[in-house]
Amino acid sequence: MKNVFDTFFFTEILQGLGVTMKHFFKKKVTYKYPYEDTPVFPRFRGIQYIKTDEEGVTKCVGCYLCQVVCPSECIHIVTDCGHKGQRLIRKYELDLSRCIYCGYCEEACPVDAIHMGRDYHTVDNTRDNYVVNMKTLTQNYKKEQKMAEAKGEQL
Amino acid sequence: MLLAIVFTIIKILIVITCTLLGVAYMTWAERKVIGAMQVRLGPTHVGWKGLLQPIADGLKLVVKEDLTPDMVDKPVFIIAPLLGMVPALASFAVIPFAETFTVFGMEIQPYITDLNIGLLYVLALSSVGTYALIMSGWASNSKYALLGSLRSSAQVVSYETAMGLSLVGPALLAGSLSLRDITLAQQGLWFVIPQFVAFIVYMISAVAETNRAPFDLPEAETEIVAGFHVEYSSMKFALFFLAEYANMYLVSALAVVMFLGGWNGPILPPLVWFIGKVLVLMFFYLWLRATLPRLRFDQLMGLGWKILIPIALANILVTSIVVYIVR
Repeated sequence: MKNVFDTFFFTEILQGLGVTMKHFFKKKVTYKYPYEDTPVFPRFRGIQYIKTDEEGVTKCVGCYLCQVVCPSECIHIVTDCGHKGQRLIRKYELDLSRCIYCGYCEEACPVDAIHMGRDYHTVDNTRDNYVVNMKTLTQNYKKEQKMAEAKGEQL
Repeated sequence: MLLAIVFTIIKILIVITCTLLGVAYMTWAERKVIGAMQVRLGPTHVGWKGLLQPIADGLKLVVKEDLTPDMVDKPVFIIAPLLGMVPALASFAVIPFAETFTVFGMEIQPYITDLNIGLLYVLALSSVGTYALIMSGWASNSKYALLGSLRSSAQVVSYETAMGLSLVGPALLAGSLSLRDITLAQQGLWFVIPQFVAFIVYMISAVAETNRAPFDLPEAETEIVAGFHVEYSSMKFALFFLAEYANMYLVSALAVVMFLGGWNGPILPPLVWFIGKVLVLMFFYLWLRATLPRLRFDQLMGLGWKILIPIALANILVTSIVVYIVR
């Protein structure tokens, strides 16, 4: 009997219409992406940055651990011997078009140098710009510091 | 005589312009409404609240390359979209938008013409519109297009019956096939009250007739790419698109005239009442599309033949008996 009633008076369809109508007046959840960023969660892994010490010298010591651990092989390091016998980093390149943002480099780093940042705006119009070097990575550190200060957090 | 011809031409231009504008903005409204029902925003980028979006879409479609695939049946391929568009617009000739009114001592009729068989004319033209689907599917030389057009022709033929039968009730009550007389007959009581069953049958059939969700089998994107207009591009595709929306307007306007009392209504001017009712029905269309999933094809045909047509026939029987007794 109930089924007959439901069939004749479209109760289920009316229920569905009610649901859609309820959603019609809800607050929309769209983020207008190019104009406003989607919010990022605390443990989000974005573009890497490399920490520097007080004099602005990079903390990285060229130990190759991140290059070894990187699963997509996007970190390329070239080191050299300085005149005092210390190790100099001639080249530290990170190919963002290959990077899968797994965070293994951050895990492997023994000197707390490379970290996953919070910025995800990697798009560019040439492929060469995806390859970032030590300079960019340390600049990223300053950016991240500014962002963190604005939020009142510690990196 | 000449003045009458000039007046008619002006009225035709006004009606076609308004229809096309309404069609364009219905696409915008559809995206907005369905977006809102899915807790999205819909178009917001072009113009204020995305209001220029339909114009941008139209421009894009005009500028696009108009390609005709190899091995199509060329004349049929080209005629099909026109055949979809023309009946949809031509049917508006008999829709009575408002009551005649007098300006500067001249009597102006705010509708193009008042045929004494207006209802028949609209039904006839809406069946001509089916040929557009059949021909486009056949001419495209593509299995998906053919499947889509076969589905659509089966669907439209079966629902045409229920739609025509459900419209017989109001015509019986009004005692005329002229849409203006039917509207005038509803000054006291809208026919939706005595003919509620017919109204429901008509609305279901109308949604099926215009190939809209939940009866959008011919265009089932998930099953057969896009149905009958899969091979069309550029302006031809735009014509199909416009024809679909113009048909939606047409069946909504017809429902308003036959069941919801046309321009009749208190306080507000008649034209506002008419347009308001049509827009409410159009919103109902979008609402349905946001709500219901697509039917299976056998369910669709079963609903048409086993349920709607018997109900419509029973409705005619009862209505005829009542009308006979009362008169």
